[in-house]
Amino acid sequence: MATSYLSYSAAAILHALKNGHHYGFDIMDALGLPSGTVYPALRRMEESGFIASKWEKAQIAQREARPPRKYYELTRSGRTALTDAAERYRLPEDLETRAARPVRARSEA
Amino acid sequence: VKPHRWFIAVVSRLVPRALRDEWRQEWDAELAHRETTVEQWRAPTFGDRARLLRQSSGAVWDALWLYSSRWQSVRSLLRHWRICAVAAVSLGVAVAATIVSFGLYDALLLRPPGVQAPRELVTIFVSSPSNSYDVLSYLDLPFYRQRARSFSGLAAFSEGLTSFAVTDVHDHLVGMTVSENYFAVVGVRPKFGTLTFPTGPGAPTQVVVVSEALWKRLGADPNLIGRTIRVDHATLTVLGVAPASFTGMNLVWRTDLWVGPDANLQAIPPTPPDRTDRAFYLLGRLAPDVTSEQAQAEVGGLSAILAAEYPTTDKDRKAFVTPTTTITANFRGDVMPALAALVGLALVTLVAACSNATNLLLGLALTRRHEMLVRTALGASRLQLMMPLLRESLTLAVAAGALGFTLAYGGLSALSAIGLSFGPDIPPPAFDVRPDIVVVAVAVMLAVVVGLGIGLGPAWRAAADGLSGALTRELASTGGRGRRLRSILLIVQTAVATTVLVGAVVAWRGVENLQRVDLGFSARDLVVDDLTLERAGYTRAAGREFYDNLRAAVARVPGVQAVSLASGSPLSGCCDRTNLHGDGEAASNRLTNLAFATVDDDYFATLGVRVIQGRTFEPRDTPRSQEVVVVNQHLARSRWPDQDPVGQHLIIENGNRRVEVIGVVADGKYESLAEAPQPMLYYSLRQHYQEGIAVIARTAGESPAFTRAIGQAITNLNRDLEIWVARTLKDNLRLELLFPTMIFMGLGGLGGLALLLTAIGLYGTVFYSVSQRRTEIGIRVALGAQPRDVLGLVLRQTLIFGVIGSAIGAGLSLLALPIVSSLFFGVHPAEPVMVSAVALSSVAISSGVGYVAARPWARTSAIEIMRAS
Repeated sequence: MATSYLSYSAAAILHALKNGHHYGFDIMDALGLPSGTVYPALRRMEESGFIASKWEKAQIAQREARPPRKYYELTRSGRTALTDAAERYRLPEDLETRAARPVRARSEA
Repeated sequence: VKPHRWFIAVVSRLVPRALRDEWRQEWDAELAHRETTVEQWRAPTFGDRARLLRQSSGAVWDALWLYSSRWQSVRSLLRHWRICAVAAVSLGVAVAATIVSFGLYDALLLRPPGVQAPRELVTIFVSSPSNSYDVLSYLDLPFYRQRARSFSGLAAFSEGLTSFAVTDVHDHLVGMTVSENYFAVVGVRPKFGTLTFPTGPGAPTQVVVVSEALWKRLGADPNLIGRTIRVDHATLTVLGVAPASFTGMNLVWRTDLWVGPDANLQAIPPTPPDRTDRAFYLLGRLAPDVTSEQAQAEVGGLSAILAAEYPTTDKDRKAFVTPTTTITANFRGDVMPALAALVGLALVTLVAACSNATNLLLGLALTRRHEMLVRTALGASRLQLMMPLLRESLTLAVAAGALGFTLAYGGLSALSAIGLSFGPDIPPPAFDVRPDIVVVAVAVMLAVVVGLGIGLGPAWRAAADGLSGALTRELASTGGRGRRLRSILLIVQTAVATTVLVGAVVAWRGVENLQRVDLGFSARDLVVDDLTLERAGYTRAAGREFYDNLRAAVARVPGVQAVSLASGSPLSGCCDRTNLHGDGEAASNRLTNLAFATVDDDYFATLGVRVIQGRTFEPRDTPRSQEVVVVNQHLARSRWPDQDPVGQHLIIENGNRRVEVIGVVADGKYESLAEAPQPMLYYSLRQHYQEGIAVIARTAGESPAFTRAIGQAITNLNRDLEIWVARTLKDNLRLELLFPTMIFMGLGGLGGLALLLTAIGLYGTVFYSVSQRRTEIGIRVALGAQPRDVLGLVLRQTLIFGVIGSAIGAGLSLLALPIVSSLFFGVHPAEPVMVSAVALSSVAISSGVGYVAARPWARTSAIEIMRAS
């Protein structure tokens, strides 16, 4: 009965997740969206089951001498929703990242 | 210095405690990570810190969003706002209809008069063979006061409210005659002066108590007490001022003047000591620890003593007590069934709206099956599973209740503000039906009951599903209990809509029948002016002379074709009452309460009343000649079935007058449109002088200009002459039709609402069930099914619901009709043709809605359908 309707920013966030930006601040950097948009969208999509979160492995955090970060990834239904939304919004296959450094290295958690 | 960390620490207070630590950890970790990456390159600068602070500013929105998650129910409703808006609006409208009808019921029937301890007050009526709510004589007051022990106080108040002209106020005000202790029994304290009328020999009688409103209009003079005011043509001394909180105890009229029983105001002559002069009710305040049943028993016994003491006047008269209400008990009987029917139908409509909302919530609950399963796995109890769903339905119901109450309040306030007018010289009614605390409480209760009512079923089902449903998910969505519940709801809705529509059609038939009723005269183009000669100071002789001048003056008005004078006009105070005795025969031939009017020679011609036999009044019928009467057919037929009525004699009044019948005229409606045919007697105006006279003029068309010109012609004759009411007979008819039309509009509105709700529910259900079956439909289309076949598949189901629902509705209507048909004029207790017509049309409507909802699916190709699933 309820059709899941993704806003443009939500779709872009899913897209960023798919492209390897797994942390809140990375997504903000990748999309140029403010934290006030990104975080509530993450919470909402987690509640809707489009994304799932888990805590970063403690060793990685310890190595960098900081607390473990929260890590987001797409679920199966998130992937489906993204495919639909990508068609509608004509999102590019890969997002131009704005961050200066390669992000893949960091997301091998 | 890390301002962004402090910022997060502060903002974290917004986050619900359960999530707070984790939330803070996530933000801290992100910021720490940022800090370390920056530190890898260089020592953080002021700019770096400012950027981090700016980036963490969104944490406020994040925290607020989590804060709002406490309001889970609101959020999950907001996610499905379209569905919820439809449900809330339709529920809201139905709740509004229920509150409005209950508000009217409350204001008219339940609300006590606004006085101290209103439940202790009772009104004493008398039932007599001719009138079940008869009035008492003022002479009864001392008798009851002396003997009755059930009351701490007993007062008398006049039956009717009288309109008075108060000099300097230029307006007519409502007044009432009361016994000296009336205010003490009611429990009202004076604002100024005293409210107790002086009694005893030599006590002043020309005194008056005024309302605070009138006191203000008289100049708000604190020294008004002891001064005189002119009321009609009498001079009265102001005794006291009643406080603004007391406006009489009548819902419709605000009382501004109270006079004692011995005041001489001409309009109300002083009460003569006669047991048959009855114009009062008694008002009693129950003594402590006395129930109204005990008072009833005592009063009934006392009236039996009176009947034994005065057999000629008080035989068969039995006193009884009723609670004192803002609408007197005799009218309550008229109003109650109609209002009860309205409340009942509104509730039934609410059931339809509730089943709609249940249907929608059921759909929502199904989409949450997965969540339910997870929560069950985590060990949630059934109650824990149901709670969030119930909260949702309650939220929906509260929203609907708020909307409904706002609509209802607006509607009832608008109704109270309607400026009803019964003519220029009658005070406008002050009619207040705005919701009070009782209505508010009922509205709140209604919202809670509705919330639980619409939520329990879906919540129970969704929670049950969580226990075992996961494996049967696919199956359950296309069949099983959910679908059965939906089907039952649809059938209920169709039944409700059919029943309410039958009600509307019956009410419409009632109005139609009233409009078509044979009046026995032609109501078109008649202007009526009621005058009282007495107030202008005419004596009997001068009055008779004035009649001729009056007739001549009105006849001269351009456009007036005929003029007649009579004691009253049909459908508006037409008749007085007399008794008819047998013509020298046994008392069994007696007829009490026979209606009569006193009319002039031209009356029957002016009103277009058919003369069947004999003649009407002529100049030869003078006060000195034989007293003659004209009777109607009904009376003639019942008295002299096989004889010629003309020339027969009748003995009237107390058996002291013998009159001769000179003619028979056609039957008609005299007092109300809905009355049964009744016997009627006409006297000659020439033989019986009347102080109150109605001028009836037939004009060349209907125009307010005629009413004005005729009124002008009358006042030109004598400036002192007051025209009580100037109107057309059509106005009388409109007033007669007002209540039936209002009932019809209420029922029609409810019927339309029920139908609309059913259509919405049906559309949703059909659309939903078809979309659930699209795989099946796709396969059928692939196998060669035509759109016709697919439609047939869906429509068959809709048709079954429609037929079952309409049949139940028709059955209910047929059961209810014998009970309610008496409310509507000319409606038979059994109306099989009308009921089946309504039932058939509701089947047709439901099929139509089913067709519209299913059509898009029937047109699509197999590929499209399969892809959609």
